[in-house]
Amino acid sequence: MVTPNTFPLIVDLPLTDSQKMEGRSELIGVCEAKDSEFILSQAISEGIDHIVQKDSIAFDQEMALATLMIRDPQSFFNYPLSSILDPTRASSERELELCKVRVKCSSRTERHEAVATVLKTVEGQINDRLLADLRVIATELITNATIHGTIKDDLSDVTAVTDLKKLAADNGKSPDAPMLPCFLGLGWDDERLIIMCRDLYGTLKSRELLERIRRAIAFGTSLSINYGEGGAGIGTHMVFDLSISMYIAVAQGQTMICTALPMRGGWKRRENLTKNLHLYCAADANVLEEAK
Amino acid sequence: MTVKEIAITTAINEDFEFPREMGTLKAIRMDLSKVSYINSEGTRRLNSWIWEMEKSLPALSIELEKVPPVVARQLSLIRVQTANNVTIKSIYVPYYCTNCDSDDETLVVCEQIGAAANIESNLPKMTCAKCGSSMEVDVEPKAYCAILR
Repeated sequence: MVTPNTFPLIVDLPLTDSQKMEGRSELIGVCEAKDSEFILSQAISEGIDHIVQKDSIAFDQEMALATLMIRDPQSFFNYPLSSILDPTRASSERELELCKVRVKCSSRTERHEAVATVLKTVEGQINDRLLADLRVIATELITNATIHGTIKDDLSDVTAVTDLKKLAADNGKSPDAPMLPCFLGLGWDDERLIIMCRDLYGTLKSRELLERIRRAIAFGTSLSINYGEGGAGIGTHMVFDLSISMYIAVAQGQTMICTALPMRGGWKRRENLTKNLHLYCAADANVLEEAK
Repeated sequence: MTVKEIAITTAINEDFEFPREMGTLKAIRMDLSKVSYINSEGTRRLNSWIWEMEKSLPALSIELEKVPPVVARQLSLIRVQTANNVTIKSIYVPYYCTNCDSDDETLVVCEQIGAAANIESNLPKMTCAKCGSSMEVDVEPKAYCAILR
């Protein structure tokens, strides 16, 4: 259980019984100067869905976002960029203002083009190093999303990025099999750059994903691969490692993953920034509709 | 000693194949300076290739040179320093200008860096080409150079 020693502050937002039945957690763990292993283990083992660090970038917005995701998770699905960058004004109008680009990807082969379009939008406005990291994150997120689409019948391990052709073949699918579209988006303000990726499957098992990242950090990616875990979350480890905040929401028929990067500064500064983590998993997540 | 030299000029991703036919080679030297990008599948393939070579050809030495930061970070993730067959000959060290938000990098020959304890002070100083300010090393030197063993 969560103890006062684990978190200096636990914000407990009262929820109605029906909201709790929907799978909503009401706890926000507030801490300071904690490392990645700490926040991952708290999310995995203690069920804390929102971990916000006082010394992170945009602490007030991160707290407001946590409240929004607890009270009104649909807003996050509808307006992800404004929910993160301007949570008290999350709306379709604000989303339009903040969303600089949104690309639809209808097949696996379109994903490189989707990433290129996103990168072009921000080119010249951020330093090359940040652009390189954005490329890594956007590629890994859209690749995961297209795996969801290509391997839509397999719910067991859709988060690992391994050989796409092999994965598809193993599941009896052509790599270019029809899939529901996924979306890649980008928005920013003076402080943070947000990358958004949404698919229409809702099959991501968020805590399993976090556990893979935790193991990769604790034991090394190499060991994870060598001990038979396949792709073993290398991609998501890379994404988590590069990001200062990660936002994961899953409900029936949709998965939304967003990550934040600082708009300014180099790698060293980013390595020293503390991370935040936000999760939402609806009670009906990880269930594929027959119609799909 | 037979050494094969290869320059990789593409991204290391799901389309990239590492060499497997080594014949009587004693060493393979890879110039990675033109690698702009390595994704998770590329990282997995690189990791698998290194360990496969160590197991099947223990006498083969893999020498990596002109390793750019994007690759160095992935080598760090897979803890390449634990592989006995890999030696990193030279590495690009990233620098950042806090004055004008620009970045740059410089090539460092690993033999010149010296012991881990002295890495920070042994790295070259760099001046920003845009504004003339002195740049800072844009990584934690000890962690970044841990892959050098």
